[in-house]
This record gives sequence, structure tokens and C-alpha cells, in this order.
Amino acid sequence: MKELVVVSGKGGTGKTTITASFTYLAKNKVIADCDVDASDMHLITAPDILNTIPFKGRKKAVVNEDKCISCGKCEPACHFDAISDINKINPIKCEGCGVCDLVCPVDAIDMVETIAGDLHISESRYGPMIHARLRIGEENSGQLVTLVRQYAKIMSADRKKELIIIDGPPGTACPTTSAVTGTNLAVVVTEPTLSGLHDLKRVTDVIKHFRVEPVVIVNKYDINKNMTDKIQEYCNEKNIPLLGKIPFDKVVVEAMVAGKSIPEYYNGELTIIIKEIWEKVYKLLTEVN
Amino acid sequence: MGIAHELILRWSKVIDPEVNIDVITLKLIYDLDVDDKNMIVNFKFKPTVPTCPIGHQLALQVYYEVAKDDSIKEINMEITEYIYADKINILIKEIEEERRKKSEVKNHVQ
Repeated sequence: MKELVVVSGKGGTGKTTITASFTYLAKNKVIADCDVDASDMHLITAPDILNTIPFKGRKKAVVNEDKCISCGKCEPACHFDAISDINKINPIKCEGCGVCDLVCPVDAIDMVETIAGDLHISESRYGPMIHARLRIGEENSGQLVTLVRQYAKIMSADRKKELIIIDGPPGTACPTTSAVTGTNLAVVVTEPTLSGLHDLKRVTDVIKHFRVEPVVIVNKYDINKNMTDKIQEYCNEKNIPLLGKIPFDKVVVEAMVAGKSIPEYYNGELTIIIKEIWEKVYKLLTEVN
Repeated sequence: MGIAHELILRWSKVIDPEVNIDVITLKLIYDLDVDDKNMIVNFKFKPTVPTCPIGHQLALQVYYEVAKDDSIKEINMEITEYIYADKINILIKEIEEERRKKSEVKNHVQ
């Protein structure tokens, strides 16, 4: 079983659009949407949720009003301004650090487990899918990404699938670490903008840090060919394969509005380009350990 | 089972709590070199990011997983790609020197 992750560094480069196209083209796969802070793969795959599992994040502070003597010691101790009134803790602001519990003289703070998100086991027209959603203001998205991947592996073994395609999160923080670690290949989708190039450099450094091989796709390459050349130069300099360039095309918007991936919606030039890129990705996947 | 295998098993229980993945799966330990004859262990450790807020904690956990084996005579651990690498490297060297001294005294007594 192989794992392919698609990341971007910068958000909004077309990562999920391309991942959805790959999941349509790939055979015998499980889909794992690891962009748990803002998951949107389900908008295209329209999965039927079979089972939902609550995700317990970091513990949060709750005041036991029977014990609280309203001394006010917890309020200045909280570095997150979560305690605005003497015995009221804002659950959105609470980071679960436990300092209030330590300073409370009468042990009136309980650190309780809370549900920070939901993990879904689903079936879609593209195949089995594991996806999740972190609740508003919740932390620990790195842990939830790990959980999504664990369930995807179980699903893959259970259904005898040969590939897990992971839609990774943007950025370079803990959720990206969780999504990239231990995968066989990381596809970086970038765009020809200054921030696209800047974040491409950052995310490829992160990928290499975890000893995974990155490859690059430039999306909407023709909106700034000068910047695309700079991305090409960077890839050449760092010996990172640039697998393909996808032109800007309004058909992408039409496909998204129709709730379909590009190859499913449209049988034209863009689909041919994406198919060629997918074949290169798949070939690399079969070659790597 | 060799020392290297034993260490990998132990390090597999050291979890980065932010991502809930162990340091072996994260590939944070590298250049592991074990001299089984002289019982010397050399390796490098890097946190997930240079600004890791629990880099110290993880580095010490990794070190103590080796240090709890009394039969290991010498541990040479180097922390890399971390903004406080210099500080934690000095700290671990001091702890290791102390461990070695205690071990020598124990051997003399026995």
C-alpha cells in the first residue's frame, strides 16, 4: 500500500481541485481528506457518511461552581484571556494549559475532555473516504490529521486498496507534518505568484525534513509565465522534478460549480494534461519505496 | 535483538504530542551508529520544526530512553536543526557526564 500526499504551502493554489482529479483517475484507492481545518473535498466527492467518530482534543478548564470561592486568582493567571469574569471560562479561548487549575486554592477547576472535531468514515462515487472536521476555535488539528490517516490505513487494508490519496492542509505547521510524515511521495501544487514561490520553498523544505520526496505541479502557469520560469529555476536548482504545468481555464470553475472533478466533468485539453501528470505521479509512486 | 533494534523500539514510544506520532515514524532520529563491542551509541535528533515549543522535552525523552540502559557506556547525542540546539546539547552533555561518572562508581563498587 502506497500513500500519496498533495500539499501546497500557500492556500488556494488548486490543491483540492487537483487531488480530486487524481482520485477520479486513480484505481483501487482510499481518499483521506486531511485538510481538517477547512475540509472541502466532500463538496466534489459528495460522500455518504457511514459512521462518525468524535475526536477528543486537548482537555479544557471548567469551573466547579460548588467549590469556587470567587477569589479571582485564576483570572490574571490565564495568558489567553479565557477567564473574563471570576468564575466564567470562555471555552473558545481556553487552550487547556491548566494554569488556572494550578493556581486555584480550592481545586475548583476541572480539566475535562471535550469533543474538538468529528471524523467521518464514508463511501463516495470515487471510492471509500475518510474525512474530518475540526470544530470552531479548536486546536490539535495535527492529531486529527494523524487519526484520519490511521483510519485510512485501516480502510485500505480492510478493502485491499493499493493506494491512499491524501488531500493535505496548506501551510507548513503541525497538520502538514502529520499529513506528510511517512508518505511515499508528496505532490506540491503551486501557482505562479510571489507568495506561491515563497511558500513552495518552505513546504519543500518541510517535506525533505521528513525524508519524503517532493514533486511540483504549477497550476494556472500561464497567468504569469515569468514567475513560472522562476519556479522552474528553483526546482532545477534543488533537483525537484516539475511534473507538469496546468493552464488557467474557466472550465475548472464550471466543474467545481457542478460538484465534479475536472476529468469527470470535461473531456478536453485540460483533462489530457491532468491525465499526463497523473501518469507521471503514478509511475513515480510505483518506483519509490 | 541488537542494541539498535532495542533503541528503535523504545524511541517508537516517544510521541510528539502535537501530531501524536512517534519520533521514529517522523524520522527525527538519524545517523544512528552503535558500537556493540564497546557499548557506545552515537546519533542525531532533530525536532519537527526548528522552533518546536517542546524540542527540549522531546530531546530529553529521546536521551533518557537510551540512558536507562545501564549497559551502554557512552551516549553521544547531537541535537540539530533547532534554535536552542546549543543549549540543549550542552545540557545533555552534562547529564551524560554525570551518568557516566555514576556508572563508573557503580562498577568500582561492584
